[in-house]
Amino acid sequence: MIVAANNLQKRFGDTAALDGFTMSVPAGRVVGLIGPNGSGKTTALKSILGLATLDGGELQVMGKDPLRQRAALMQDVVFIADTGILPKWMRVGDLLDYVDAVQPGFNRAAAVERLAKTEIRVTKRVRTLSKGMHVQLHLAIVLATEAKLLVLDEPTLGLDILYRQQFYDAILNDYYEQDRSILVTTHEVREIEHILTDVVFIHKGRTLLSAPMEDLAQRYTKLVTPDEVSLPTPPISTKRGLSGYEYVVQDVPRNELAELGSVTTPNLAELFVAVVGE
Amino acid sequence: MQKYVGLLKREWLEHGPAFYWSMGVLLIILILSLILAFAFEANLDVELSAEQQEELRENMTLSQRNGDVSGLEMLTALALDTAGSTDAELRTKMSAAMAVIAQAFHWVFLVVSIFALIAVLYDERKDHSILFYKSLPVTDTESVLSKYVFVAWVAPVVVIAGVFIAQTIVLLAASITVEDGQAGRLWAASEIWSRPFHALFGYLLQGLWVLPTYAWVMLVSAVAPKVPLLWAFAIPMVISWFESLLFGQSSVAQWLLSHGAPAALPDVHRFINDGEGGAFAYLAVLRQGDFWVGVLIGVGLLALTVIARRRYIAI
Repeated sequence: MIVAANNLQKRFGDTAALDGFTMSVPAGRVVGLIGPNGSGKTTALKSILGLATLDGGELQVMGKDPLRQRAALMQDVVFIADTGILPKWMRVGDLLDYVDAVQPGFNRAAAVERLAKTEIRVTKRVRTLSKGMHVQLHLAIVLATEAKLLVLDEPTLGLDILYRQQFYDAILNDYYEQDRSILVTTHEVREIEHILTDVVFIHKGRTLLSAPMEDLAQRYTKLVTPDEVSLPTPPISTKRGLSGYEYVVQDVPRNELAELGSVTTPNLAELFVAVVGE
Repeated sequence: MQKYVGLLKREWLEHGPAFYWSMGVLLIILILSLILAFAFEANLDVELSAEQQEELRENMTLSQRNGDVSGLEMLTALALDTAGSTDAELRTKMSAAMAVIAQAFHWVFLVVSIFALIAVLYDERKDHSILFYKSLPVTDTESVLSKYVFVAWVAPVVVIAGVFIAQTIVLLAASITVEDGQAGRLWAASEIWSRPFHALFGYLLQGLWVLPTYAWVMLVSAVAPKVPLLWAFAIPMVISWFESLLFGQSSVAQWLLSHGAPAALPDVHRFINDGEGGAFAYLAVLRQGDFWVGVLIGVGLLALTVIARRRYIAI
């Protein structure tokens, strides 16, 4: 198991950022951690990266305690955060030199080769780069590093649609392999839905749902009917829309529902709203 | 090894310019002062007493007595009395002169060091680059120590070079104005070539002498929510204020201040102690119990700084 988090607890004063949060990331999986603002997902990610202390629970990343063994762990973990975190005073070339000196798994030549395909020059200072170029640079560093886990915290926040598409294409084409895992959080659920193998819903610091994507299609059904209907089991959400009544139903065979209206698989956003609304 | 070189190089890239620019500015001021002195030497108004004039005449060469003597030449002759001094006397005078030249560099370096240290752990929290540094396999202990080692033991190379250049420039200027045939004695007495090595060793000691003060500043840099410089000074001052209210004395701030001074440096030590004790007098600092108490307290404060960075206090 790459990440094993069990019953994590973290409080900030009276507020519980993590309240029994549990999740796991198996090797070779792309796990989406989905939750609204303030749900605890950034705290969870920071704990996994050894950047935040916990008040309770058990957490291991590749068999290591992230807080106590962060430096050793970072030989196998790379991450891109939502804000531009690269040191802005550095020149790109100096930044690559620094990473080359301290990160044994970093391939400087590969990073330079990737940057050569962009407008980023090694003589430029990071502060002169646009938000998109900043992310491209960080991506070049990450993709040139041999790592088993890539953590992405809202990596495309503030990027235009072109950069966002390029970003995930690069991740899938150049990073993702059978033994490498990705843990990603984003508000743009639709953007990553097609690349996820697993999903974890987090709300108020608790795990609301944790399942492989293929299970979701089997367990959850979206039913749309022109009129209100009576269902064999209570739906987890009901919404009145333009096309009629929309139900999200759990663990009911689709053939039973098909008789009542049109049946589809809910997308992640619909499922999240349905589960949180529960 | 490559890792530690990389860490120090990173510090050099971030904080090196503050050190070499400040030293550069001091050198420029020194050179401009000398140029101005030479340019206006004819107008130097040197008022001499009868005894000084007599002394000056005795110390001047025959040709100088008979010819025109500039104000600078008079000043040099009066100050150094090169011809009239034995080698030992001249060495003492030159040592004092070299120490005076070095003062500004060491003190300015100290101020720049404090500013660099107050920024080292605060700035990375402020611009969130700490998240990037922490995404790399470098421990918090390695990060904190690399920052300390850079300011205490690597950056001083800049000030040592600056002092050496300044002393050489002044020696060259003095060689022009000194009595004929005395320039060689002046250079020999200045011990210009051994001074950088003494300074280097002095800074090795100085890095330990200032440990409690520097480590305190780093700790504040790692935890202060805002204006870390203010916190770094305000807390000892408040403690001292309470101390003076309760006990009638304020030793905490004074102790920290004394450990901020460049007291372990040969030039400064010589300057403070009026040249007593010879070239190695600065080593006396090793015999002070206060030195070793400071080292212990400094190590404790550095350990707290590592813990603070590990816990990452976001701004």
